[in-house]
Amino acid sequence: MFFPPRKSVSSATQLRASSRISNLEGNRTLDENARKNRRTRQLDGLEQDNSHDDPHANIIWNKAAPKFGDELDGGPSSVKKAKKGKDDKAGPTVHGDKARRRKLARPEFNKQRFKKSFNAHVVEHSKIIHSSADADYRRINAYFLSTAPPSSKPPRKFCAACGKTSNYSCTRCGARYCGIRCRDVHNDTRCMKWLA
Amino acid sequence: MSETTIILDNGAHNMKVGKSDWDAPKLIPNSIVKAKHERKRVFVGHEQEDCSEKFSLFYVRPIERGYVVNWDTQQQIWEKTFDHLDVEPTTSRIVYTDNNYLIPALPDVSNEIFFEQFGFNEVFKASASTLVAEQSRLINGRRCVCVVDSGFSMTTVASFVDGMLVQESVMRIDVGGKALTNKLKDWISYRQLNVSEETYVINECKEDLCFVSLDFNESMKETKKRFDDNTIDRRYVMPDFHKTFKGVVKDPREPTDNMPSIVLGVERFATPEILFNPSDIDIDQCGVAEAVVESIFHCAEELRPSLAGNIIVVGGSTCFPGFRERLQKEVTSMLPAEYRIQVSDEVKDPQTHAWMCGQELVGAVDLPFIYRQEWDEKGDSLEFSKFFKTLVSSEELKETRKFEEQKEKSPKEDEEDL
Repeated sequence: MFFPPRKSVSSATQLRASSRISNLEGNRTLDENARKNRRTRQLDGLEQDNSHDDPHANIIWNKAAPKFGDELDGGPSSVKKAKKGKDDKAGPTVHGDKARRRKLARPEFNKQRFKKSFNAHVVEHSKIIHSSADADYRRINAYFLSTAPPSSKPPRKFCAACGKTSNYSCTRCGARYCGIRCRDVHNDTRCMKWLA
Repeated sequence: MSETTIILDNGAHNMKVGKSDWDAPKLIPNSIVKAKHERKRVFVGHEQEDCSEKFSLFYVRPIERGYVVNWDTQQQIWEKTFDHLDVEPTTSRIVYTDNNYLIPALPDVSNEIFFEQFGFNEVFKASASTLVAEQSRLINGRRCVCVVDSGFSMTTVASFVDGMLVQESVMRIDVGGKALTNKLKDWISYRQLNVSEETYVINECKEDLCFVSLDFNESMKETKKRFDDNTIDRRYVMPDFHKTFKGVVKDPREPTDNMPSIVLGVERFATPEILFNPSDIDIDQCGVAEAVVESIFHCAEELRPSLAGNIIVVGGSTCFPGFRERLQKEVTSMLPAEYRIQVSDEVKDPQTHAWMCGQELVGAVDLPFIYRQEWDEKGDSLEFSKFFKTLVSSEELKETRKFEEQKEKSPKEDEEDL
């Protein structure tokens, strides 16, 4: 009794699956929102100091070397962690020891990761100024008020691949290109592939 | 009492620091550097000279978007620097530049560090632009100044009248040397060779090769030409830090001897162009020239001609060849024809100009330093009112800001306005 419906179900899923994949490959476009997100992510990238990880983050100190070097390296934050590590030692398992070392080795990484964004700093500080009893009006929102206004000229358009003036834009992601050659470069390398 | 005066122009990329009787300041990188090949030490400030292989340096910088955010790092760098320059804080006073006195945005704890940690006797603070404006007024006798400061993390334009800042006229563009270097890195990494880790090398490449085009469209045409007709393309042979320590500029047709190299064409002028047209890379702000005009128009009408007649350009990112000429040209095209527009050509080195101004001021006038005693009595409360001098008591401004506060609270009104 179950036999016939089962067959039909399997064929239906196959059909559905294939159409989904073809949708993904061919017709998907980025909507305005996604494009905007992409742009802001790129702009944030421009303010980054480093595009790679801290080369000293994963240094594992020589086992024979005395351990006090660790504390000096990371400053006060790692001292705290070192204390925690000692507590761990009460139950000395191999796993616990490893975890402790990993924690100690990456203070800079943690600092970077949990750092507040600059705008968060500004917003927080302007709130403090707002709420202070005798706020100097000149300091209220000064950072945002000083931002230069948008240009009166329309933005110019440049090819994302070669940097020269461009007349066309990609139908899927909106990036600009100047000719067939640059379009192919774009399709092969960057189109839709920045969606992290 | 014979006191030494230290002048510290605390730039995000280079600090300009020195004693007031020196001929010129020392440029010291304001960062801590970690190198891949040297795992046992980090290079703080001036120690970066000892770092021989400048491949994939990792920078830790105390300053973000023009403001000191990471005070621990900053203090560490200052300590090394003062040691290196033989500064004895307990018998000195310090002139210090801080963006907070142009655009007050973040807490400033430098006072505490200077007085409590280092033990300076007196502290004077101003923004770099203020120093430039004061120098122009007191020494060159120009009462109206429009200062363009294009630094590492941002570009600001500010108009000063009689040494007072017109606060409404401050324009901030979020493009500076860092953004330009990063953008150039992006472009080269995508088009030619992955250099996304080589901040140091690409920054030098930018300094050596980039220029501001006087006529962008013309340059664009030029760069589309091929082979011998093209006068823009240049090859940049990267240093290997064994035999060569600096990149070499070559003609693209010359042989490269198998050294890694990149060819810059359109990037040479498109990079600095971002300062004049941030919209080229989707930043929704106007360029430097428009910001100057905007800034001047925020001042009273009678002042505008004299502001336009004294535009001073400082900061590391204005060192691109052609920057001043282009600014002059664009500003002229946007202001009324009867104004006599003059972008000052008296600035010898835009990077150190603010420092030099500070030096002249220390020699010529009594700056309103805060004394240790005052600091002990009143603490932080007095410093802001002392150093942040803005024009117009501006009841009007006060009202508008209050109005804006209210608007923020009720966003509905805001939408109606739009």
